[in-house]
Amino acid sequence: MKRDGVKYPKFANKFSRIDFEAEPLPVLCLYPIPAPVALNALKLSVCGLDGKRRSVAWTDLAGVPRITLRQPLICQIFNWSETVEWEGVRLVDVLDHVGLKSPAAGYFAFYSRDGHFFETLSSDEARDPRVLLAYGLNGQPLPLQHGAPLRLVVPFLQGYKSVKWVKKIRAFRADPMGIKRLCGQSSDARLSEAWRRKYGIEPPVETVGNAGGRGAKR
Amino acid sequence: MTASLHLIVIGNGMAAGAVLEELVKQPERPAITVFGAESHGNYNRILLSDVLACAKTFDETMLNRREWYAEHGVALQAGVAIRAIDPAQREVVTQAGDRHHYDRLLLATGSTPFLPPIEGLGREGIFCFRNIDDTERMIAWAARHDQAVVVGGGLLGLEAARGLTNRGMVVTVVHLMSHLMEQQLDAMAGAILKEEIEKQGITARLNCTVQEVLGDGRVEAVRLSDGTVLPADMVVITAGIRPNVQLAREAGLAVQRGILVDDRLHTSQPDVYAVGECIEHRGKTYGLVAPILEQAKVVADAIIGGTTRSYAGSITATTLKVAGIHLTSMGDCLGKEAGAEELVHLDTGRGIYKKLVIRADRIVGAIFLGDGEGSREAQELMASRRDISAVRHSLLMGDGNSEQQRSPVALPDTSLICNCHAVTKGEIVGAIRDKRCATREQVAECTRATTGCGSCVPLVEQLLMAVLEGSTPAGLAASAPIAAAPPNKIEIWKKEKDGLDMMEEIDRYAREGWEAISEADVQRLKWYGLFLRTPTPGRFMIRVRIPNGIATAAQFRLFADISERFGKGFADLTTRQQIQLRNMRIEHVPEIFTLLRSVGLTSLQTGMDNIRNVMGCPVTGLSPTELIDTAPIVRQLTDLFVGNRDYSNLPRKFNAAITGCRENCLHAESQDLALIPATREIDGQPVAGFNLLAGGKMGSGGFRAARPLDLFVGPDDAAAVCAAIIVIYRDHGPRASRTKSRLSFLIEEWGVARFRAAVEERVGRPLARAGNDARDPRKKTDHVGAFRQKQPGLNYVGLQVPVGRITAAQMVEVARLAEQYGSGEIRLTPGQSLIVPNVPDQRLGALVSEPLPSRELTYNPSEVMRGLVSCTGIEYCGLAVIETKQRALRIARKLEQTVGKTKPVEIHWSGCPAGCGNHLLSDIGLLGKRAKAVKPDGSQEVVDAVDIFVGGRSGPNARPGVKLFEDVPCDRLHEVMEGLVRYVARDKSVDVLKGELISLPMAAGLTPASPEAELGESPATHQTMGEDNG
Repeated sequence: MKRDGVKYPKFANKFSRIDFEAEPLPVLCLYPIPAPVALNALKLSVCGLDGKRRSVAWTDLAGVPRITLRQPLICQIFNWSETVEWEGVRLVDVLDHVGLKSPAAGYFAFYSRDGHFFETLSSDEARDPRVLLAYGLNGQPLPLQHGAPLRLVVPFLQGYKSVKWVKKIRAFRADPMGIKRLCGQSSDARLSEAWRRKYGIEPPVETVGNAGGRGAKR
Repeated sequence: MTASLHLIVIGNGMAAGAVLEELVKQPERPAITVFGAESHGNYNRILLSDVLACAKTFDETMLNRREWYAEHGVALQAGVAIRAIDPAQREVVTQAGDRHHYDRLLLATGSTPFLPPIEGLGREGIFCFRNIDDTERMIAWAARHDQAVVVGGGLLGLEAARGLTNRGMVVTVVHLMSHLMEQQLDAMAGAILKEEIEKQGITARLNCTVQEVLGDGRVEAVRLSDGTVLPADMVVITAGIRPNVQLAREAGLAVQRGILVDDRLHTSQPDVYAVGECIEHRGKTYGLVAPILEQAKVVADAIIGGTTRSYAGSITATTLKVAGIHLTSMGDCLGKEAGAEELVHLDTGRGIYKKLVIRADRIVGAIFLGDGEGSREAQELMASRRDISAVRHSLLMGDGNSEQQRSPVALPDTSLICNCHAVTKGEIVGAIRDKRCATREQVAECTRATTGCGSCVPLVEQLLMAVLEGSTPAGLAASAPIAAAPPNKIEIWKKEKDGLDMMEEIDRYAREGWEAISEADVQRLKWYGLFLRTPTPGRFMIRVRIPNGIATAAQFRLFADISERFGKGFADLTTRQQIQLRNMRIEHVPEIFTLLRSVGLTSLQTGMDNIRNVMGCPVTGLSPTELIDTAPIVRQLTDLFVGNRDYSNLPRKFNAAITGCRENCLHAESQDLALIPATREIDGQPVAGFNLLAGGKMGSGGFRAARPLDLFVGPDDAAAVCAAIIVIYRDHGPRASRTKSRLSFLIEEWGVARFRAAVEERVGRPLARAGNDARDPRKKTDHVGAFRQKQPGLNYVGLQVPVGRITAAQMVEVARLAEQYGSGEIRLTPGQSLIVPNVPDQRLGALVSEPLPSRELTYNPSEVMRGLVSCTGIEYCGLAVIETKQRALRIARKLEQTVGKTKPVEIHWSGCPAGCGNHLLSDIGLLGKRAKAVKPDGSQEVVDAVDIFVGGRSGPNARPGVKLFEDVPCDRLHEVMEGLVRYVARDKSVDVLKGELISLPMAAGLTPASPEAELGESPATHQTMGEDNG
């Protein structure tokens, strides 16, 4: 076993692909990997609270600053983590660039091109500057198995929030919950204290959404 | 097995499956052949909604796989449809023409989706939502398309809509009726449900139907009955089901809406039975799982020749499976039958609606929307047909915990846990305890609980945990949300209800009177700036927020009007540049709020754990020496948080000031956050901006000077950086103790470096380190007097309002002066004074000759008067222990006469250790207390007294004063002060000052402060500190 300490949850058999030998990150896919799409051919579908869809080509985002960010990807469920260098654009910049707003206590959902996987972030989480839409990994183009051409990277929550193959983004008033909660595979995306302490990483807000179901109702 | 009999089952859905499950348990049963049109084994159709919603896989819907049939000796002909029945020959005919003999025949043909009359249904992209194949095709289609229209807003339609939303589609539900789920809900519940559904991003169009599907081969749009054309690339039809009766009818069986059966589920033909959605029993058809499972038990018994069971119809209960919405509807919830009474609980704020329908003292139906508490009890009462007249008063009066938080252990053993399979709590506990079931799967195998609609999974898991580990579910709950329970009363109240949600309560209290106000609401009203004053029962102080202290003549006239009409004809100016309206009654509050709104003012968030009025230099934009005009920044920050629930639950109050004034006119040091003028080179360009100080405070827990964060911000970023700091404080500030909750304690805990890093992280980029402090360390001004503005030919005139108290007549007069001589603007200073700006040179003389500026609110007050500040005192503040305002004024007037002209001296009064008068930051500070004094006759009495502090200073070299004397009785104070004001000089160190002053003749007989009590630490005894002083 290449990565020591990996634990298999009881629903591991539902994963279509598990590869802990892969570098620089293990490959874990709940659903089959979709067919490749080139970054320049990527069209994101975005939808605001008005329910109106718009198509945004990757090339429309040329003005959004590119950054690299070294951050851990932490998979608490299978008990591994790797620190890698992501290259991408800040989600908050993209949201602002395309004018996608959610209410302060609102949510964004991110849908994968695999046709099944989707996850959500609270507005605060989504606007945290550590959250990227990444197209590069350790100086290379993002490999297909890791979500190419564009994936979400949310270092301060459990790895499954970092949706691969992002295709659609939509704003919501009520929490759409995300697939892991709906499936009962994880009730809470927050990282355990041990992981947070290990990487000195804290979620932006304790009161809203995934970073804290404990907060007051708004 | 009685091999001589042969049972043929037509259909392999849930009804057939349930009958087979019953039959294989029997020691003697016929040989069985099952014909199923679908090629799968037996699966749970109800769970297809979950599959569509990404919450389950097809695998998880399987009840009995094909192997199961073989293992149990059941011949399964999957994918073989039956074309005809020949009752005379006792044969069935397959599609291929094969004939099979039966001795008993069971029709379990189910139902078919109803297709409403819509034109253009032949196009690609139109789906019914009935079986596995439909679901697979819908999932594949949804992955490639964007917009769906669901026809029919019933249970299945809403579940389909949510499922497609989870798959990234934008969904509109088109519903023919005037409210959603009209079969199971009344109009009120339908309306609330519509709101909840729409919060989930699903649009519902009522009173409307799809007339035509448009598109070239493939769905491109739909035309609605109201003429609207909705773009759509998918249409899902969920407009109800129709029993499949064709085979039966052609075979000559009696059929109406469904295949007619009796209480033994026997059709009109000998040895032919029917079960499930295809039947009509006592005039009713069923489309839910629980009744079908009941029927299965009866028909299995009948088939093997038993005589014990019969079917009397079912009371149905429906649960909507849309994540985030709790909805259960049961029985005759519409109260259709005569004599129905209704018991209703409605909470529109939380989207909760509960209704019991009662007839002849029995519950016959119920709706639970938004919260399931009480639904199981109601269902039990309904099923047992118990007389509820004795408990009627307590029905729907739950304890406020939602179903999920309540322990199923507390339920009686007879309580139904799994509605679908009618499994009681007792049976489940028995299975865990006696049959050694250790997992939910094993419980399911044993009892079938959780294998229906799945809504009882959490309950079963809690029971498992409770029985296996001996831990009570209450204990489990305690490890989840309750463990994080807030540690003090105020925190608990804040969690219960946001202070910003008080408007309805205010209207109610305005009708019911102040006595009705609960303890918690007394505190919550402070979010609306309403302070019930203990010393004056029933009377409120209303604190009005005036950002940067910039007000208008119209606003002052209104303050005068409100004070006249509703109060006692005066108001107070505060040290945070606000106005406090006094002696207001709750009955008048709604009207006062309306009046305030009419001049653009609000009292929101001026008390408790909020960002208080954002201060700024009162002559910003006017002063020729200032570095930056801060008014727009103060406004920007204020607009961000006022009325915004993101900022309405801080750990404690938050004081902020943004100033460009070089002359130190406000107490930056005592603010939680102060932006002070500074310059810095950024990218080679000089930038005028601010350095940041944070963590200052007065009052409980002691004085702390705000310390430099070593950060610089430009005017454009200022408001955003302030907001970031406030959010960090909100999320990480300590909340355990009210006296250790200010920002200061967080910075102490973290250290400045970590705090700064957190600010940068929150802002999302590195910030510049501090620039050059632009404050003039030698200056300290109150802006009282007549001064030239940066605008040529214009002046501002500062008018001193002694101890901040102003009468209605004075307010009207100031308004007149501001309009007649200035621009109609009036500003409030941190020294509780007023400024009339924009007075032209030619009119300045006339203005200062007016009676008000020359005699009452003077522009050239004496040195003792101009530096005089007092907190509210015992008159209106429940915390103060002595009267301060009138006393301060009296003593100052006396000093004016006896001392005459002096050096500038600041005298600040605080009526309690909260320190609202900033007594620690002034030349002479007086802290009120009650102390023992010796009377001339030698006896002792308790009198009003003060501790006297000297040498305090605000500004760049801020320092707290030191205590000079303790327990000085107020009736001796004048003589002591007379001695002090002559000798207090600002340029001396406090130690030198103390040495000199303590030896003065007037000090004779006074108690010098004990050495250990010197520093300005105050006893941290109050829970709510200094709240009467904004």
